[in-house]
Amino acid sequence: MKLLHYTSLRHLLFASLLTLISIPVFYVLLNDIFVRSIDRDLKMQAAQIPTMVSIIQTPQDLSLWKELDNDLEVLPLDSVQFHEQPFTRQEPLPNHKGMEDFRILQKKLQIMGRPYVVSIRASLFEKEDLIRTILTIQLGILILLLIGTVGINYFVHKRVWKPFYESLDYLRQFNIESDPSPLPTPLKIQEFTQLNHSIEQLSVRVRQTYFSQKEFIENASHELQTPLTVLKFKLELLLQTQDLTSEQGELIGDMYREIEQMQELNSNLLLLSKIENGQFISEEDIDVQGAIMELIDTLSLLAEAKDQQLEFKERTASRNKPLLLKKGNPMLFKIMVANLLTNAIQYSASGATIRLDLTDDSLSIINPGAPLTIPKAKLFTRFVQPGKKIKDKTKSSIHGGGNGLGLSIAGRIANYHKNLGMTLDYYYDQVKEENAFIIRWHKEN
Amino acid sequence: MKILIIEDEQSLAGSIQQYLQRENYLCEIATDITPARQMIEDFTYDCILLDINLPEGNGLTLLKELKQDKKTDGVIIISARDGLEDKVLSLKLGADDYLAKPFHLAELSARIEAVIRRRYMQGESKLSYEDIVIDTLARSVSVQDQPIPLTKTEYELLLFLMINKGRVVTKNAIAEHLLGRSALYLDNFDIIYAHVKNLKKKLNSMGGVIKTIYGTGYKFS
Repeated sequence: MKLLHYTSLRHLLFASLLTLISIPVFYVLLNDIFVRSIDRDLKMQAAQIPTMVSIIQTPQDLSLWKELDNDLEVLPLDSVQFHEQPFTRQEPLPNHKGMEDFRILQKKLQIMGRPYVVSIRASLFEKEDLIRTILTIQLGILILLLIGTVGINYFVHKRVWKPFYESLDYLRQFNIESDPSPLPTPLKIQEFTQLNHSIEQLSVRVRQTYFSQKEFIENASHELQTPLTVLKFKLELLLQTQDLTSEQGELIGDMYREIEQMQELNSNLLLLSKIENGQFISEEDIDVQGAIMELIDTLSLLAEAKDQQLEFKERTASRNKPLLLKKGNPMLFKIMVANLLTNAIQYSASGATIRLDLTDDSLSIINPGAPLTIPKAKLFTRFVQPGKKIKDKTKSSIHGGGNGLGLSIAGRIANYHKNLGMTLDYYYDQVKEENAFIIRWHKEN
Repeated sequence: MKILIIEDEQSLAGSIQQYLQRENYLCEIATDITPARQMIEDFTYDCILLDINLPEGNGLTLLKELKQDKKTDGVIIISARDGLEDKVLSLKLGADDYLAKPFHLAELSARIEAVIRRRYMQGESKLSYEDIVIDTLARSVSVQDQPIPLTKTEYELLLFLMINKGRVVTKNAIAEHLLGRSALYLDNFDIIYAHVKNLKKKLNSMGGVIKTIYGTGYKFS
């Protein structure tokens, strides 16, 4: 729910509730005021009764008086229930057109020496009418007020929150790599000025950290290259010494292997940095089939080491026309496919068949096995190993390669070929129990 | 055979020199473009190892100069692995070979051998050791004039070991020679072992020239 809708809705709900409560309260109050004023009238009338009564001398006078005044009732005290205070009672209308509310005030009097109760009444009919009219007007005003306030609120909020949304947009489009676009200057609202200021400071800090970290990785890898190579060369020289025992040779071999792993990690980090820095040019055409054939050739021995088959399914249609991706970097493309293929070999069991399916707009690398254990979102981040490598347990194992950068590099390379619409995705086929990495690109017409 | 190593890292150049001098190679070292230019003018080398990243700039300028002066020295370009665009450019400029860092010394010596063979033994494409003869043009092998059918892998293996004869060649170097960078992802070297075993069997009486150096690798002698 959007902020604006949220506040408007809350406002509307609150205002409606207030209106709903106010109507009965208003009715009760109005009613009370009305009844009071009628009661006052009745009391004033009642105050004149004794003077009238003093004139009455005979029963004829009494009945005349009763007839003259419709709203007057004189009854002997013992035949009625006496109320000290005014009260409301429903009485039939004189023309028998139903019942109506009347307000009645009773007074005890001595007429011709006998006790009587004189009741005077006033119709509440007009009051009902008046209250209804007043309430209708009030309701109308309330509704207008409601619409007005909600509307004003809506527009005011829209204006007030505008800088907030601009800041939000800025954050959403924030790209750590590219130069920052300036933040819009907000209204004179202090909080938003502070917010923007904080965002700006934060983005500067984040960028600084990011770049210094990147620079560090680059420099460290670069500086490590030479000593590692020297170390490796020295070990290779050491191996040439004549009187080396097999035990010593083995130790040197192990060291040698570890150095190679370090070198691989190092050059992968450098490669990643270079891709991220955009230091490669995408000017050449990528011959997809050619690249795949080349990679299958170089990786066939790796697959053979695990008795695995590499099966390349070429496009069925337009086979004689080579599949060219315009303006790409063939070397990077090869590294991407090689990484995916190497992973497929490493993560499937001995004897498995690894398939490469090529279509006009995609290349799938499919290998049988359990699904990857890490969430999709983290798949292409650095130093994430996509699962357990399947090694042949019956054979002795040396420290097998893999430094958790292969997929990250592949992902970056797909990104790098944005101009070709290239994407890299992972799928798992539950039925066939197959892992698939799919490289897609825009088909050329 | 005279070899010039143009490399700014002294210790690297020193190791290469030490390794190559075991053969009858005479190695000289230049650490930058200017001294290298002087040495190239003064002497003729059979092979020049040229690093691209030099303090004074890009080593490829030297390659261009060499070609302009119509010098016939063989040139092997050495560059960082992720600078593979350099490879295309180097070969276009007329380099004989290209080697990406990090490499094995055994691999380097194999490349040098190949360059020298191509350049100075025109028409002579045959390599021999005792009764074993490798024809690098026809990619065929024979023992006592009997042709031996080898698979592509076995052929590469034999050639690699023979070029590095007299030296211990590590299983790592062999694996990388055969598998390229993917060698790092091998679980074990059983596949190397299996291919060497087959190769020895096929070489019959000459199979003994490939000696297993336990724990490290193989030696052709």
